[in-house]
Amino acid sequence: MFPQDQESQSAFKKFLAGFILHLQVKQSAAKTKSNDVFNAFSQSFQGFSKICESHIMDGRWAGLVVDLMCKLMIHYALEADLDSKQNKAELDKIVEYTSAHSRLEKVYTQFQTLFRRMPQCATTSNAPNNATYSVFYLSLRMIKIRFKMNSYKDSESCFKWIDMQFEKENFNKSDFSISWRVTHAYLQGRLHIYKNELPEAREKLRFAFEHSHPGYPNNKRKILKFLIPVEMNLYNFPSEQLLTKYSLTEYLEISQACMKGDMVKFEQALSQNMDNFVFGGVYMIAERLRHLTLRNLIKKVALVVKKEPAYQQNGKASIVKLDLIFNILKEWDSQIDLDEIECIIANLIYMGFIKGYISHEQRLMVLSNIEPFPLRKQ
Amino acid sequence: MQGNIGSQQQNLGSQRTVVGPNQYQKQGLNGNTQGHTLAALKQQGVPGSSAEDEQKRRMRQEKFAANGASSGGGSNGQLVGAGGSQGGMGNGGNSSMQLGYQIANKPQRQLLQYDLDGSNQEYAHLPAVKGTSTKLEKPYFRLTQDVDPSEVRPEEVLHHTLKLLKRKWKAKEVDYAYIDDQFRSMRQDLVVQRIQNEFTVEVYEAHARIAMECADLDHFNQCQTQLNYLYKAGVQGHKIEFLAYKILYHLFCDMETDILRMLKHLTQEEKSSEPVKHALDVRSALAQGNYGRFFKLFKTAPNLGAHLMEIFIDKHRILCLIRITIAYVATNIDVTYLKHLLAFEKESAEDFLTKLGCKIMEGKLMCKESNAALKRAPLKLKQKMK
Repeated sequence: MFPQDQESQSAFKKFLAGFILHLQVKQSAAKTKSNDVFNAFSQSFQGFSKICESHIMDGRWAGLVVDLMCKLMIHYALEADLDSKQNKAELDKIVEYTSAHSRLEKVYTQFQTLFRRMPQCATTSNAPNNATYSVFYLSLRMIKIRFKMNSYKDSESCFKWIDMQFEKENFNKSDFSISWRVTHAYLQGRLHIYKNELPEAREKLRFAFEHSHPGYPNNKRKILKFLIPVEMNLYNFPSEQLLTKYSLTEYLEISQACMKGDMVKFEQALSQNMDNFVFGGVYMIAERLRHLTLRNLIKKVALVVKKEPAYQQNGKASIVKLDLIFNILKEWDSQIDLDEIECIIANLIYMGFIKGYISHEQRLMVLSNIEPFPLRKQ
Repeated sequence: MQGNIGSQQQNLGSQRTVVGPNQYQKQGLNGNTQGHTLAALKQQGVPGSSAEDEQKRRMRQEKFAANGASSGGGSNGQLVGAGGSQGGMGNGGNSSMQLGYQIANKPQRQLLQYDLDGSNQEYAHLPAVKGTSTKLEKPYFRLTQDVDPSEVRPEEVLHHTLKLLKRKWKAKEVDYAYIDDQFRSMRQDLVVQRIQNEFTVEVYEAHARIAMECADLDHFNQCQTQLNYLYKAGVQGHKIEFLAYKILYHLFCDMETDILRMLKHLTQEEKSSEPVKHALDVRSALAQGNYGRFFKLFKTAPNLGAHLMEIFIDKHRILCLIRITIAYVATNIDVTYLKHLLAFEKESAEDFLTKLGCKIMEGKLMCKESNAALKRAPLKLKQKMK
């Protein structure tokens, strides 16, 4: 039965005390400051860690309990952090938590100790969601913390650990609940975005999107928020319906501008929604769409040249004089000159958006005869 | 007086009219050696050489003689004590610079010597040390054990040190290794005494600027991070100038996500100030792939931004050249144009290109042939000046 020694008893008491406070807060019976709640729950979590070692935590439900405790822990840490950010005066009184994510850091270290402890616990039940599986839930929570703190690089070790476990074939993927796998795919997708590996990101995010539970549209929205810019960079633009359905209208203007090749509108859309994008961590990918917009613009000019002999040079349809682009681009950037245009085009050629070459002396651009604006196969 | 340092040390006891140790004791009790001004001390007249003072002086003498403090090396940055009206006061011999930085004799500032014996031991156990040293210049040593207050310079001394170092750097009397060393020891003294005010900011800013000039990224970054803490805590300084440097630094060290987070917190005033606008323009130029704009901005960088950009400029020149050799492959490109585009002012574009292995024929860069060489070229940063 439950170990009767002093240590375990006190650990259990700690756990109970904090957990009861949590239940009270949930029913808003106790109006306590978020910092106090956090401290109390922190104690409770410590108690809980201790209990985990005992054999009462054996059973097919252990993993889920660990997951719940972690989730609550993070929730209170975030609330307390947010609170102190907004109440700077109070912050001065609380000396120990000085940085914006200091509580999260503490939580992370607590998780780490639990992470190391859990695998050593002896378990008799073999099935999924037992104590050993709880480590996987823990690892996902730890990755989430790292993402919240914007330190993606540190989360890589957790990912690698998970991958290693699967490779060793100790665990079977199908054993895990769909929700775990969806979360895992979603987090992996975000990591790929951070590392600029767009095709892999698309794969993971699509998996997550397709398998996420239809009863929770919020999850789908979260996934889409990252999936859409990735798809746009891979020439797949969202329809207006999709965007309004999931209320992601910030992507509407930018995707329209990009498809049309409208530089002015693109910059406008980008700067208007900049806060949104930066906050959501997608600004960098959204900015990359600029190259695509430029490519579309130049392609349109090239098509006009093809049709109108008046604009052609020596009757050759594949030669585009830079003057033609100059006036249009001047609307977008008033300080631009022909040298800079050449630089930008050179960059597009380098990146594979345009096939052709430039002549500096004659100020023109010669496009390739076959597929001058290839859709890159990344 | 300065020439007689050597002899003076021996004749400590004789005709010195020192501000008696009693005065120093008082200061000790107040714990505020900064309270008095040097001018005030200078004006303190002859307190008389009581027997007590004589004895204390003799003890000091012996102590320093025992330490074998050499008084030999010329008056290199010594504080030669010579009170306003009395000559021969507090000789600098005891605190002479025995460290081999032999610089031509220049007239040194004349200050009082603080009492260097144990009267300040009472503060050794306190967390923030009150320094008592009067050496203007001191090399940097990593602190491994408890701080010795007699080695630490109080803030007033450091003010003078800073002025001295700035003057030396402007006159190009010393090389970067020396200045770097001195600044580090100054910073250490400030940290050990928990001094975090405008002066600290001044020291860090000066060090950061010199580090930038000499392409020392590590120290620049250290100073820069410390400055951020100080600015956040509300200490005044050249916040905007260093904000621009910070943005440029993050940009070149591939920390774009950090820049974006910073952008969220910028005020309108900061965003519209010239250095910050310049730094943000540099960022967008790179994001758009507009190299022409990037190099133009390099030429017009405000404050010391040009030095910071210069560290990375060769790397970007190579990257730009790779794009050029691909885009202009059929028509080749004039080297004179490249010189203009890539902001080669004093250096020669031809030398740069040929060193990398590019082929130049008839004043034109041969794109097809040079491309391979450029791709292989190492993207080096400018090395720290010695």
